[in-house]
Amino acid sequence: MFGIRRFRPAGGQAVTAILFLVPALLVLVAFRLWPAALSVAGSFQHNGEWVGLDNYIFLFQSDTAVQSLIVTLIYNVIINPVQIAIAFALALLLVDKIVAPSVWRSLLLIPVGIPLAVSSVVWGIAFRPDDGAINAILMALGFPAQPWLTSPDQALLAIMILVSWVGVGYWAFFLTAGLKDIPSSLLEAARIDGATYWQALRYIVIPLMKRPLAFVLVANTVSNFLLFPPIRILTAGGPSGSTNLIMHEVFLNAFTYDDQGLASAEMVILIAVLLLVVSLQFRFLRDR
Amino acid sequence: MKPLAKVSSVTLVALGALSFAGVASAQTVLQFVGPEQPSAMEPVIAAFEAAHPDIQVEYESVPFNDLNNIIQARLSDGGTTPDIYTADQPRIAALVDRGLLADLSDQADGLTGVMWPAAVEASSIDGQLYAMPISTSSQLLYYNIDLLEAAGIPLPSMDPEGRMTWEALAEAGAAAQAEGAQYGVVLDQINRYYQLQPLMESAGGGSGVSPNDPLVPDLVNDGWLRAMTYYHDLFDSGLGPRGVPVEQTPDLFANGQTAFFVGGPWWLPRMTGTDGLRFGIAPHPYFDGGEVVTPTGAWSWGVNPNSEHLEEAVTFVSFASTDPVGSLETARGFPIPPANMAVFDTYYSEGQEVEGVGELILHELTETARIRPPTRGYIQFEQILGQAFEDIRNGADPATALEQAQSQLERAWSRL
Amino acid sequence: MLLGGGNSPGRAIVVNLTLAVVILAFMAPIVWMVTSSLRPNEEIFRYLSPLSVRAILPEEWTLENYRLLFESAFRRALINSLIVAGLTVAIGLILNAMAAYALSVLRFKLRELVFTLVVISFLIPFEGVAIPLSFLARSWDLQNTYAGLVLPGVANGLSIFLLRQFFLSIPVELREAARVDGAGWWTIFWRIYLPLSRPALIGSGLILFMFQWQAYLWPLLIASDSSMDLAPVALGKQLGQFDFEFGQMFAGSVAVSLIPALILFPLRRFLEQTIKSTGGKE
Repeated sequence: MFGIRRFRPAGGQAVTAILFLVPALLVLVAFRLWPAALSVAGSFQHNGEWVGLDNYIFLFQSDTAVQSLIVTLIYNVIINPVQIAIAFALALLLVDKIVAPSVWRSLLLIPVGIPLAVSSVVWGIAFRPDDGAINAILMALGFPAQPWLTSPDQALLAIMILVSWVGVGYWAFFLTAGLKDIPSSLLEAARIDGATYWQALRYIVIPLMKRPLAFVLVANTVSNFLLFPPIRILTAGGPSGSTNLIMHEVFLNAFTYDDQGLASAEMVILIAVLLLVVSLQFRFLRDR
Repeated sequence: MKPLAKVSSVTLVALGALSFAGVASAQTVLQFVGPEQPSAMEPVIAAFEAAHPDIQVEYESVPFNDLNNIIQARLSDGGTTPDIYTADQPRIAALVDRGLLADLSDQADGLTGVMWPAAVEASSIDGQLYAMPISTSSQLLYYNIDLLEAAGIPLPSMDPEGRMTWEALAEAGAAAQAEGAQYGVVLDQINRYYQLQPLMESAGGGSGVSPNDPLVPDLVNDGWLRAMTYYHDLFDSGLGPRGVPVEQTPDLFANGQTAFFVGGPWWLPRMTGTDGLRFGIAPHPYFDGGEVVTPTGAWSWGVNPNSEHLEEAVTFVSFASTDPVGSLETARGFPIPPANMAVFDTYYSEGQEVEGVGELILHELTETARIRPPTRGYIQFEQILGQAFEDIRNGADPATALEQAQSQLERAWSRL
Repeated sequence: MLLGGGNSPGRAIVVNLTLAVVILAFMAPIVWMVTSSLRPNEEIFRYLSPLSVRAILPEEWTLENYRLLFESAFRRALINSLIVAGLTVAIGLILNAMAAYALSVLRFKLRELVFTLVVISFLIPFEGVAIPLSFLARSWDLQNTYAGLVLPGVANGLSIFLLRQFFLSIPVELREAARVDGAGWWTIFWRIYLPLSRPALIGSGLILFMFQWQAYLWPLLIASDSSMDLAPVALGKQLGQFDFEFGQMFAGSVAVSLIPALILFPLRRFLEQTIKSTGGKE
């Protein structure tokens, strides 16, 4: 399913494999898979009683829940390619002939080290419509002020800007490592043959970056699907539900309303969607 | 440090640690969770430990926004700690419904005539007391003297009889804005039900919960529409700020940018301590022709029914709430006015720098204060309304937003 | 690394300038945060508008926020965060590398199934299972222990996935040669795969580190003793009900955000290592 290459049966390695796998799997089962299994069971319960599919039916009849699923999909369709494109461009810059590359690479990692709650507060202040720094800059450049987080049309965009600011340096870090593995002899040969920058990128670099790109694509998608702290701090899902990512709904039901059945059902839906998206990504990026 | 001194200090520390451990083991330790900084709780805990040497109280401060999540996650599977926690008064009904608060009715006798009746009412469900009232609250109208004088606006009176209407406030705010104020009117908890309930009540729209059934919402009526249209226009006209969260509103007044600020008395020390800010205090506004209603309600302290030290925990919350020494020490650490009337005068004569504020708050608590509706669906109510208020503030049509909130709330309450 | 085109000095200037502009834009919010942490609290919101140099140039410079913060419980919380993140990286790297090795090098039935489980494990939102997990963790007596804070972070599906991707690109001939020489699977793992994988191990360690460095909800649920608080929780407490210590919150964030960058800096030479010398890609 996830692109493991040809399966060659071989005896004798099974015991070794189990020994290598057991420690990590034990922890994964105890701290992720088992509680998740409990949640799946919980998604068929309400206040401790079995209710069959009631929670799911409730969700699909609820405008709020359906809208949050749509918002989540729109958000991810836009932000994942954009973040990866920016991260890739940054990574290309970082491996080019630049002064003090490790200094820049470290600087780009600072945003991801700030607690997300604090970066959300800082960006919330920058996005203030009347006196925020972003509008002040826009106006200094002759553009009109924008409503940002206070407008149903722009709030999701504002969240994307914040999340990209946090994330692209981090993802660029992983892509830089991959770029460094590309033999410079290949690029040198292409240069002698007169290849332009874009040709070298298209025909040499990108094909050789498949594995690191696969990792970053999948990891980035997962982290964006599971995001909620900026929503909780800045918009609470509004204005008019325009930033109500489904993970924020899960959080609201689980923690604020203590409706574990509904929270679990939403989480199961979220994981199902994510599983579908990620397996498509694996298929697409399968090693050939 | 000389070697000898070093040795002896080490010995002292070791001895201290030993004797401390010795005492600690004989003591009952109570775990107490709340959103205040530890320094706010120090006075009452110190006084209690002095009066009850066999009980030790360990206070854990948690981030305000996570308090309810933490309580629920720690207690809902029958967890025995914390023994004591701060309960937001309107949430008491839901906490009782889930079995997370011990019945304290045998402590209720001591409350009559000592506590503000509203604080007792807000801590009781069906006549049973579930938490000890600790603090209360009210809201005041702060005004910036310089901005008002610049616009030639007469300074509002502190007398409750000369109370401003919301309409007059908007007009005066606009006049001040025309003369240089950045904002005319800013509300403290700018998108929260606590702050906005008095608008709806004053416009005759009721609390939003049907008086006949605490799980039936009543948001679509003329009073709510009038209040919410006013609220909508406040931001649509630019009198008040969009995109500024609750935590950042007091700064707008403290910075001298705002003509009128409707805010809690807990901001008084902050404002009096700000250089160059000349401000005055007036009573909370009301709608022209409507009833005068002011917000109230704050914290009570409750006991975990599964606590292993139930008796000691009850002793502590009682001490903090009703004991003459204890309640004064509680009030000393707190930024909000005490629920205990006996302590109220001392509290305001000791610490408040603005002349007459104590009397004004006293008047409001006696005459105009209204608690939030005691429904076990309050959490959903507050959350869904908070989103609706924020939408209206950002320009959504009030009637549509209220209808949506009504139907969302009906669905949410159908889960209970 | 140079793609196409010439190696002219003009090109180098363009590339460096572009990077400088990009970094400057990235740094702007951080610069504001740093200067806000260096001014008195009441000044923070005073110069937002209109845009002026005062926004990032305090009237009055002060280290008061840092002094207050490091005298408070934050210092302990920062140490806790370092301990928890450090332990997580140390234990997690070995665990995850072992699992990744089994999933990329060893052949056994159900390998695909196990890998699918690993993938599913990182699709599960940790916050979504935090409540049932906190009940389990309490029944395992993990509350207020470092184990309770560290364990949920040590096995990380993403970290396994990253290492597996890297292990797959190590030429098969290497391990086959080692097998012929009589090396066992552990020796091949320890002596060949790990030393060749330093960049991937650093990336994987970064994932593990960041999980704990950003941890907020779980520590709140599992650590009631404030001496066990982690740094983000201690900073969260700066936003109380009636006192919002933005200055200290920003000061703490400056400290917290610099640490991962500072830890990675001395590791930079390992990041330069490539597997080119080992005979190219698979």
